[in-house]
Amino acid sequence: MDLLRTENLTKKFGELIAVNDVNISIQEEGILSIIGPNGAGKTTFFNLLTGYLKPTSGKVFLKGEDITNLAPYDIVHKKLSRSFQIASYFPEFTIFENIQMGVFNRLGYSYNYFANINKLKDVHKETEKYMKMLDLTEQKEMKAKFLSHGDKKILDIAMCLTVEPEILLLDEPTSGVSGTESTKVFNFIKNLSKKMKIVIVEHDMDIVFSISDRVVVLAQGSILADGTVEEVRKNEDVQKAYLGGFTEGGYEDAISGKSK
Amino acid sequence: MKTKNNILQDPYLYIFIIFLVYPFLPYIGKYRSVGTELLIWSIFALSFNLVLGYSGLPSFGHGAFFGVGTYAVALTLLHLTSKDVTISLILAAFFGGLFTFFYGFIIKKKRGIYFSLLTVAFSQILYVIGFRWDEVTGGETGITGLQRGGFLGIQINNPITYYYFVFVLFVITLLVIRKISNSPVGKVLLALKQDEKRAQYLGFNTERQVWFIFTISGIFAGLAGGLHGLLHLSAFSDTLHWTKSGDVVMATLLGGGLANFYGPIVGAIIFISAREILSSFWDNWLLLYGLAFVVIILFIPTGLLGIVERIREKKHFEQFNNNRNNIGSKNTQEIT
Repeated sequence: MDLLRTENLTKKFGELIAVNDVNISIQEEGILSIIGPNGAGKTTFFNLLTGYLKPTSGKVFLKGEDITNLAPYDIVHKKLSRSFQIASYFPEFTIFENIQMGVFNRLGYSYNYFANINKLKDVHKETEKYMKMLDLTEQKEMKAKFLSHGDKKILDIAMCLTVEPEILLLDEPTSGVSGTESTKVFNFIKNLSKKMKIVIVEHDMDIVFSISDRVVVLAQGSILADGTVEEVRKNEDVQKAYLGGFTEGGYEDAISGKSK
Repeated sequence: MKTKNNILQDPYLYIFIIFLVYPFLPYIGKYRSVGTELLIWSIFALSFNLVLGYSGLPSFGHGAFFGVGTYAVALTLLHLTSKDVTISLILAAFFGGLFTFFYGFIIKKKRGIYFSLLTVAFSQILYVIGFRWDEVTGGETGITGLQRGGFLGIQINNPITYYYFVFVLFVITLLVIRKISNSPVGKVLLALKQDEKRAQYLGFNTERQVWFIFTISGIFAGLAGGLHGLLHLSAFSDTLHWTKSGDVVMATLLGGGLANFYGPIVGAIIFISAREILSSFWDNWLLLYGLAFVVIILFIPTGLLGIVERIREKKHFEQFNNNRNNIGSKNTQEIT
């Protein structure tokens, strides 16, 4: 069964058709990247998948279940999680507290008005597990707003993990992150893909072509191409849409460097 | 386990002691109703701060729920039982909660200015009802001449017993609200204040959280209103007016409710003292109070206790600034 599937998904903002009749099936393994020029509807598409926006028409199915009109928090409970283009976290909380939030929810403390948070051993243990995974144990008492930009991005993704998703949607995980840091974020994602399905919206072609198992190209709200990296690269429509941008060094290097 | 040192550092201890001995303090102790008023406003401001300081929701009509409590007490004493206030106070809290429960459901999805305006609008609707419905609320003249009687058989008629009666309720309120603020829900509220979208994508139904905390806040606001009615043995429609809501907003902000749990109490103390002391010198005392408010908020946007938080923050930053560049340097390799 498809993990995530859309059926004639369409979103109009007035006259503008941001996402136009998109049908896509996402299977259970590997990394799927969604690329496209600016304004292609990538983020809108993401927002439709995760319940942040409601489609004008069409449907979204998660593991066969219609989730089109569910609120974000209900979709999260069905094991779908997402990060944001602008790293999203709680700046006034410490790193530990940031991670703790997702754990609270998963362990069913959302409506607990009387437990002392410092005495919830199961939450503490579970949170520590993620802290170790992030190797942030030493800085756990630091407020998240003091982190570097790349680490904020990683924190954002780590928070998504606390809900134990089966499918993780990452909206431009390396946007605004410097070169070395972006490699770090990127390795982090690659490791995650061994455990869960990952869907990425990304601008950086080098990254897209070196980690994706499948690439979907959106242009003006519709699917322009859908296939493996090789297929998409050879697609003439895609090359036109990008005005030959792919033939420059970075992209070729990325392809030749890819070993499978 | 709390060490002895920790207990001594807990502001709660000092608040408890100050209010416990207040009636016996020289000079100010004899103004018992001022002390009682202080406690009542502290209850009100603490409950209000669950919405403003914790959840970041600017409710500018909270006086309405305070007023609902006042009328609940006045009407039950008038029509049901005038001997005992137990039922009256329970109903005050109940109706405070009931109104916030229904209204909270309507406005739980609204944020920012829309939330504010809808709360103001609601308080004005209630104000007009209170002001115009002569047969029930007494209209312009309000309801006067109430009797305090007893609470579960304990006489609370004289000012000092009433002071201690309110003191006990204040302590209970403080402990309950403090408990909530240290609970997972307290954290969720602080989280939704910072980034509601993020909280939702961690699986929190933030709208329902807002609805529930608004209701809890209403319960204590209603209780405070009921106690206020019993203090002055009357109910007037001006308790429902939006300017009353303004008072609690100003007090909470001034004290530092945005930054510190005890801020609302400090704010209530400043507000009541300013009102009692300044007004005895000059009728236009609100001018001075307003000026002080502007100056303080200009320099310390998070209110007086915001200073404490600012110092803490500075220490915190210094502690971590040195090693912030090293953070997470190896964190990507070891995940598998």
